[in-house]
Amino acid sequence: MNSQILIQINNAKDIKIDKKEVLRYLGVTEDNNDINSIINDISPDVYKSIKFNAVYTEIDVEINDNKIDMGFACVDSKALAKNLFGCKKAFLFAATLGIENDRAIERAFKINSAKASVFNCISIALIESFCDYVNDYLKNGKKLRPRFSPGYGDFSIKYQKNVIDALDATRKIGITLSDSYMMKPSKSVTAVIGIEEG
Amino acid sequence: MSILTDLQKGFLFFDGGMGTELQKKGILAGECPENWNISNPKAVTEIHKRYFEAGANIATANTFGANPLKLDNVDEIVFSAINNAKKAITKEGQYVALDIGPTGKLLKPLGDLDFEDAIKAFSQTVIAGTKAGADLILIETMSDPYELKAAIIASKENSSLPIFATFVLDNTGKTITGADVGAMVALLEGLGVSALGVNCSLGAEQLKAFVPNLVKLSSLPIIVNPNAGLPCVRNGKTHYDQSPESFANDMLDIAKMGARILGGCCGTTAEHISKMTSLVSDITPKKITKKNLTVASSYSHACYFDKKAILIGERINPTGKPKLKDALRRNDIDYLIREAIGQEEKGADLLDVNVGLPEIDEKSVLVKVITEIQAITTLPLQIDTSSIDALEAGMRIYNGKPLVNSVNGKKECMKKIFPIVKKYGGVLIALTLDENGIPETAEGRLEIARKIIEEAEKCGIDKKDIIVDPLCLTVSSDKNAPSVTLESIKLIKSELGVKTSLGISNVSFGLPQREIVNSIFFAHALQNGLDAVILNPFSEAMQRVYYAHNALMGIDDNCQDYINFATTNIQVEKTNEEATVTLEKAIIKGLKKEAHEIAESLVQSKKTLEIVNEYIIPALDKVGLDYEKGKIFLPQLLMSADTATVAFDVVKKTINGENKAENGEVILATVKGDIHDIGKNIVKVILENYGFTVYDLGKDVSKEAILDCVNQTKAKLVGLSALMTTTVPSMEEVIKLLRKETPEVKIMVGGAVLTEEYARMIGADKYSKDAMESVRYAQEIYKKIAK
Repeated sequence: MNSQILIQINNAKDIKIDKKEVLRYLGVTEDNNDINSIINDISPDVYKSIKFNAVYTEIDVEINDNKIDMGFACVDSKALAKNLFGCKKAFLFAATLGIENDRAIERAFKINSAKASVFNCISIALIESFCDYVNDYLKNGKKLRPRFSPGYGDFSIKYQKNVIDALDATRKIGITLSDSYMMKPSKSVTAVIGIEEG
Repeated sequence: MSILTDLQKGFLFFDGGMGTELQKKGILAGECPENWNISNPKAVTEIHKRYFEAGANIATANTFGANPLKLDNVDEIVFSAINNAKKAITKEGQYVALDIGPTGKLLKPLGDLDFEDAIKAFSQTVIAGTKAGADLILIETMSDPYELKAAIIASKENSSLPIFATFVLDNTGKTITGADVGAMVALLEGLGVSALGVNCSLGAEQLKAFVPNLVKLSSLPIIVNPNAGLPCVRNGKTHYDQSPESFANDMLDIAKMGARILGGCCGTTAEHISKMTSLVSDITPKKITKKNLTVASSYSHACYFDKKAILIGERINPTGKPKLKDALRRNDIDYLIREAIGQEEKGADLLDVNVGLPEIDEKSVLVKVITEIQAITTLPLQIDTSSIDALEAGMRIYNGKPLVNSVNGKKECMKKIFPIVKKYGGVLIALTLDENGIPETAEGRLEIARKIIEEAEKCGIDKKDIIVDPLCLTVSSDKNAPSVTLESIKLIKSELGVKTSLGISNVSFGLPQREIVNSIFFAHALQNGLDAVILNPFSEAMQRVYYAHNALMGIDDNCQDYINFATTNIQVEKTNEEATVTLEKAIIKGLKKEAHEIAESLVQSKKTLEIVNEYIIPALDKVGLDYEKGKIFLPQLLMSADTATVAFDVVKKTINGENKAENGEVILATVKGDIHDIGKNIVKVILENYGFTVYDLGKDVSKEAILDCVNQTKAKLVGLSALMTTTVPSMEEVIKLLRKETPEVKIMVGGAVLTEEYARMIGADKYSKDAMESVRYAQEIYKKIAK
């Protein structure tokens, strides 16, 4: 097993807030000044609550029909097999905003639920942006498949445990898993990214 | 010979990595390293042997992951692991450590592992290791102070072996859960470990930067077990490739800085340890000095009682606070949490928590309140109770090292409180009164303080963990009382060398304009050396004194705190006058301040029901409709809801507990196994604003708790939330149970994974796609009942 490399962000502002996404998560379908100004007001606090951390490793994959042998686990998933079709290698990664972000969201809900809901949606947008950042970092001239996470389609969420273990993500970046396979910090993502040959 | 006596004399050396050595012996990826204790005992013993030969004194048994949350055969693994290590011993001065690593789970309230379950899990490992003959317990690679505390409690309750504890720092010098070095040292010293320090994550070169701070803050031997440099990738493979020579040189520097116990973690080998021991053994270890820091801590940081007086917020205490009493009776923890946040924002350093009311179960409420407050604030807490049971339960689950309010000079009181504080660690407020009451003279109070300190020391509680409160009596009944108190502060500090604390407000009891007297007395007390004060952080008079005093005494660099305080307060006085805002408009626009002001003026002229029916409800109806039509969006809906709450609160004041036009009761819960509750919280806010009383059971709620609540409240509607497909089955179980036991109750469900169809499948009455739909359904149900 190859071991796990950390990706850390020195300047948090390098990870940008995609405002359109924030609005989409909030269910806002038209431009709205009130909400825009809340987003601008609380963005600095959201950044303050975040520690961007990611860890990745490179794995060999072997696909037979719908079975994918990834070394650390043998997965039975039609959707993942299709996603990785033709790949012999893949990246496995986990990324998180850290547990202080969860605390900040809980706290916000105790005092101002409007701001809290925006705070939450900005955080979701930021974990997505961070994943894109990690994606670009890993790309480095290679051709990559779209990232695929446990819980997508028929890729059972139960593999979340195998992925976190394989990445040593609990020790390295503090991602834990509940008995019902929820990740904490809640703004965390794990995924497989197929690397195309050549 | 014991390891602790050896430690007094000189350096001790840990071994290096186990994982990399097992790989060399052929362990496969994905294979459980702990199982090798049973399947390949010889290989494991050989690794230990090589480390002993390299000069290590302590073999770390191969039990890192051996806890019942990860493995089934913990007893067997631990037993063979300890034996494999013991077989490697060839001479005196070689020891075996039972190795305890993290469970991999996050503890409640943020995660799903119960604190007591964590203690139980660690206990099994501790019992097995102690029975098998380990010489010490090493708790390592911890990044969550709370989990570390659970492991230490498990060790203390099931073993008398020395405890060494190390945690993991990232490159910012904090643990991944946000704890700084000061917080970790305060917690670990409070719990009474024998040595503490850091391991893993970084190389020796990077960890070096944090060692001086550890040595500066701790009075204990410091452990440093770094990795062999930072990992780097070559040909797709990771290597830790700091050479043994370079590692040893860094470790020599670390030893010179004052670390006493040295070893290695990931990537280090017998060569690294060998080079290190031969280099370091040549120097004389630095003396370990006692630091005498009086310190309380939270999960994130330490609060030192030093030059600047510590402000302890007094607002979470029912005495004389009818609203807080009412909140406690209604189990409205959110009210207390808002008090906590408010005080933190006003600059409190620490918060007093007292929930003592005769009609509530103080122990369980205190535990709940401490847990919930610690989930959202970083401030350390002062546990304030006269119930010994509640104190013990509170200290046990507290995440950090709390202040304890209080002990006094009565024999009975000391006898009960000291053992609890000794076990869990804390700083004790000692009141200068005993069986004979409060002495009238400063000398008399000094003697009681002296007695308490002596008795505490007999129980193993150090003087630095005692803060004396010389008590403040009322000036209107005894004109000399304040000067005796001031004199006591001075005398006790100079004679006993301890810190002092005081509740000020008592001094002005019975006088008009009490703040004038309080603030001047506060200034005098500070001038006499007072180290901490219990006050209302919202009192501007007290704040003025505090910030001005610090600036004048040269303990506020560049008067920065004073300037911040003074300028923010001036800004507040600027009022922005907006013409012709009605209450209805204020709610629709989400203008809280305006809503508050208008409501205040309306209650002068109008009846409560009129205000509710003519202004608030129509405004909410308009907002609700606009939301349903997509004219406004969730944050605006919530803003209006929050604003309506402000207006409701003003109006409620005038009806003094009468029925507040309530529409009905709804129980909300996020089901068992589900620890995300943002959606449910939004539904709660909106329901409350439409006049429903909401019983919010929180997240990860068992079906039994939901049934209990239905039985107790007679609510006719239960709302359940689940975010994940994995937790929908527990939702189904709740529905089954309620159908059987309370078939008349309606059940609505919601959450990310649910759909109309799914809801029907699991037997719910209603799928609510958002908060407004929940309100509409609740209105429908209660309208039917009314008919």
